Amino acid sequence: MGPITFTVVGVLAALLVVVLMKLFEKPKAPPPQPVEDLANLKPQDARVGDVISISGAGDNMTDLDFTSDRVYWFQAGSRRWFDLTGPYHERRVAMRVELGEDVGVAVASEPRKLTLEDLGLSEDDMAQIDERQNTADSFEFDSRIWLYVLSREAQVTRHDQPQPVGFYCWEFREQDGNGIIMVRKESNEPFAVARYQAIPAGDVTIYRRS
Amino acid sequence: MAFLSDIFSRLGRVARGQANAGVDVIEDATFESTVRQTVADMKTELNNVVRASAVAMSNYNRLDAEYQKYVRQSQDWKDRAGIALDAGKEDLAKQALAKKAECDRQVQSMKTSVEQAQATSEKLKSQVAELKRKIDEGERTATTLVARKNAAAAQRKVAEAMAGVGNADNAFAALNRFEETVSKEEATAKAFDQLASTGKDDDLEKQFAELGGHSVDAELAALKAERAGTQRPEPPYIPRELPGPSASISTGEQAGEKAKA
Repeated sequence: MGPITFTVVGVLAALLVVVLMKLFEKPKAPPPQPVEDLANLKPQDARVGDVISISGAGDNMTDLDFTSDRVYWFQAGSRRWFDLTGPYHERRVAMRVELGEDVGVAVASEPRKLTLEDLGLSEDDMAQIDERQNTADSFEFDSRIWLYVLSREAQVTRHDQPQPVGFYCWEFREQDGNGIIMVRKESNEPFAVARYQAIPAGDVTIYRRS
Repeated sequence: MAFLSDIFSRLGRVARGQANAGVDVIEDATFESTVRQTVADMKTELNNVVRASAVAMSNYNRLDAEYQKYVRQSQDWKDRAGIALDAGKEDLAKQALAKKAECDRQVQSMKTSVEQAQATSEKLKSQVAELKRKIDEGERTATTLVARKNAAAAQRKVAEAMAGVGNADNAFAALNRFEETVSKEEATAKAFDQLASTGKDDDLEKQFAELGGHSVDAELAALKAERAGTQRPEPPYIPRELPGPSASISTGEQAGEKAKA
């Protein structure tokens, strides 16, 4: 074996040592970055721009899919909730999310716009109900009994209008059912009625574009 | 050349072996983070699908809203045409029907697109749900794998410790070595003790000592007689019975009884 061969073998051996050292170096694997879990967004995570899909809540038992374009934040004492609304089949629908320990979700998809008269109530009735503050008070509407829950001052803030607006609200719950009726009265505005249906939070899927 | 070829072949084999071992070590050391990164990659992919679905669904919602608007307008113009006819205004009814036809054309042209968009939207929704289910399953599997890997590593450590094949400072191995040393020293001490006591019999020695004691007495008596010069010295006392050779292995009690006799 000549000197050239020795040199080649030596160089190769040195290279082998370097390769082995590199291999046995403990790699410092960076911890994986937390990935935003867009597939598991909850109703309380929803925001303007999201596509909301509510299983079986649409017309003819189809999914109620709408792109949310407005959000209203409500506060009545310690209670907080928001309505995320968007167009659906030529009308406006809303997903109401009550925040707190138990997140409550309800959807308003009534095709017709309800009025106080539709409920069979008058302004005087509303005033008396408010005065009594009696949870045994009820009225009948759409062949269902609706029980008084509360009436109090509240305020609402629209996402693109930072100034909150005060109003007075009444809330009724369907006896032995999932229905909710919310009546609002802003000063110099007529009574506004919204009917919601409480749904399981698991029925809601949020699709976020970015 | 054959020699060099052989050397290179062996070096190559060694390098491959070491490389494989090195990759194993790296995989072993980073197992948990690798598994978690795999799940994170899957979630990133799912996020991309969710975003794409959201865009497609949003487009469908917009298209559907437009479509529904034309459907409603078509119905409105039809209603107006009817009202005009009822009022005897045929021209107005014609204009309304023309408007209705315009809306109907829009509806017709959009119908296919809306149906396609709806089908795409529904398909994407089911694909997202399916992918989400698979990723949830993958995440559960990953968690189980990491737990199993950790349990296996712990079991291996315990087994190594129990077998004493662990590293040099293994506590169990050290204790075993200490125990061996102490046993060795105990055995040595015992051996020396045995050596020291070999051929020694206390009973026999005592009897011979006693025998020796009797001879001195006899000699003393003989000396006294000699001094007195009156009579011949008495013969020395000889015990009537000497213990036999077997007495050296008799029990202490037997020896005592004989001594009394």
